[in-house]
Amino acid sequence: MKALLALIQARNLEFSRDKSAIGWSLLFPIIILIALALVFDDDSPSLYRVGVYGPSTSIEAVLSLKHIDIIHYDDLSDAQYKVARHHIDGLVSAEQYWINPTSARGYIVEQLILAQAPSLQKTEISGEAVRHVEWLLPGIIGMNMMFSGLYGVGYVIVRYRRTGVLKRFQVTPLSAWQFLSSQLLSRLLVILATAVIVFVVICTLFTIEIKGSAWLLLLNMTLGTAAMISIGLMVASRTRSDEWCNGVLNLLSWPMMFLSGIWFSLEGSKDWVRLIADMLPLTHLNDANRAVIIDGAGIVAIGDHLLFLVAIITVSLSLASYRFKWQ
Amino acid sequence: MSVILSVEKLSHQYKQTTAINNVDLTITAGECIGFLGPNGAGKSTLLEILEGVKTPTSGKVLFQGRQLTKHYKQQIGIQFQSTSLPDFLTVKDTLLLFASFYHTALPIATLIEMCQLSEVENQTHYTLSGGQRQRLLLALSLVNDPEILFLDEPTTGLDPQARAHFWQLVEQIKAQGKTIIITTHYMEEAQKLCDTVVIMDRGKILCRGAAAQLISEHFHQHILSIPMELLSTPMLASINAMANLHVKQSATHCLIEYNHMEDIVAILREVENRGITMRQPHLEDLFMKLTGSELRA
Ligand SMILES: Nc1ncnc2c1ncn2[C@@H]1O[C@H](COP(=O)(O)OP(=O)(O)OP(=O)(O)O)[C@@H](O)[C@H]1O
Ligand SMILES: [Mg+2]
Repeated sequence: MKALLALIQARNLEFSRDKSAIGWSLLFPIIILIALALVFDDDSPSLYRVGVYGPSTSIEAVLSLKHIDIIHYDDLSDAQYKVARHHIDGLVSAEQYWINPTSARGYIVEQLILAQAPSLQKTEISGEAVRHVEWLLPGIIGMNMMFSGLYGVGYVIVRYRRTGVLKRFQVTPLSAWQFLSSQLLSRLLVILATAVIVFVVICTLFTIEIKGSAWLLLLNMTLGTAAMISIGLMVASRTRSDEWCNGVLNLLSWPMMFLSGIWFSLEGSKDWVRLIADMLPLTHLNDANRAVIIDGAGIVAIGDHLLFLVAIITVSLSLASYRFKWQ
Repeated sequence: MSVILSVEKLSHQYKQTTAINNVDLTITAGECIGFLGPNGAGKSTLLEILEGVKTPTSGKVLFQGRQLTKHYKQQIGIQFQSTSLPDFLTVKDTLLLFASFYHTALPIATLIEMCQLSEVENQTHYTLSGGQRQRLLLALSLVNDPEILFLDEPTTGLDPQARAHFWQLVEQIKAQGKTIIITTHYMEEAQKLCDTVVIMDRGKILCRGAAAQLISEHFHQHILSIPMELLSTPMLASINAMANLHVKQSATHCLIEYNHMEDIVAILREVENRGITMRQPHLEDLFMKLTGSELRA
């Protein structure tokens, strides 16, 4: 225990004295978010977007309207959620249509629908629009956690192994397990602390409100970050080669970067893509973060995501300490 | 006196090299034992096996007659031939970190004072000079007040003053009754510090004993050393043919061992009296004789 705390402290000292590392891990996500928020300043796309659910034979008149994007949905509740969040401006099926009364664009779309198919039944779905930055924030924070988790511990350990620091530790009573947990915990503290700062800065800057429990959010981010660090520890558990480590980490991080729904939602993509996405820890971290921030989800709603992250942590850490080599 | 460490029929094979070849060795508690040998002789490998860092290909290491256990690590202190430390830590931080790994540790202040590190205690370790760094590494190996201290070439690269200071420190530790296992390429260091000297080459132990005793066992009483350029081929041939002498040539010198002055009078008459030395044999000669190479190869 004494050794564990001392190692954590030493690692944190190391990190805090490495000024460039701190600056970078704080500034990077903030800059990206601000840049993206500016680039995507215009939250309203130029076209109206209408969802279609089920067979569309009787509503062809609606579908033939020009300058309207038609998006087909197989899952009704998913489509309704899109209306509530202003992702689409309205939804039609063969018998009825759904409109969000708080959306101005929805009002226009409703007039268009009624003009083409006056017999459809109306249902209202209310809900606030999700701003782009609100949607991106959890994703960017998750991505930052992924990069600092995966690469942060991996490189340090490989360097320590190559230069002989680990060999020096090996001849002390320190156990592999103690060493690994100290790396996990010290990195976890640093990443969470920076995440909280980034979060507070961005939320204040863009007046974003977290709908769900902040504690639940913290729990999720803790598990997500721990999962990333554990994977990093597993990859770095016995190699002496930076290059190898780098290659494997790239192989893991790039799919997560694009398939975890940080930048764009994966709905409508092929089944196998979704299958891969579901196996990536970042997907679960990200989905759970968004659910808590945007929809105010509770612990039960994101339970599956949390369990998945716990499983990743358990498996990776066991493998890491089982495979661990000091030299 | 009790045996603290022993190995029997120890061998270690790397992919290409047999680094340790069927070595038997016992080390007595409180002994200071020095390993000498040319580069690649297997000194570091042997030390690492004794430290429990390397598992030998065959043979076992016994600590106080028993196989090494987890507990062994609490009892030993190690300074590797080369090592790195975690980045960005000061001398003091580093000592505190290593102290936390052990059940019992010496007070940091004691270590700092003992190894004369107080001037640099708040400096990060990579800003230290070579000698200061060496002292830090020694302090780290002493953190747990170990029973056995392993020092792999601790004074390589130090200036004469730093080396002398290092010797003082080692003498202090010896005085506390600790067992010290050291490797070195410096003869005077071995002669000064070590109760026992072991000369190794190609993974084998060539001889073992107190330096003075080894020298008297292996040499006639005196040595005549003649620079090679003073000797013509016929002269060398006639020297080699003389009785009561032992002749050995190195790249630069012809070394002639003799017991009585009258055996070499004939040679002295022939050779110009320039650059010739007559002296007692020392450890370096023994080393040359056994390994066939210069000490600081
Ligand atoms: N990890 C390794 N893999 C393969 N060969 C090795 C390894 N370590 C050492 N050797 C070889 O084993 C032999 C003994 O090496 P060792 O380091 O024990 O020598 P040494 O006596 O300490 O030499 P030096 O005085 O140069 O430190 C050498 O031939 C070396 O090349
Ligand atoms: Mg060596």
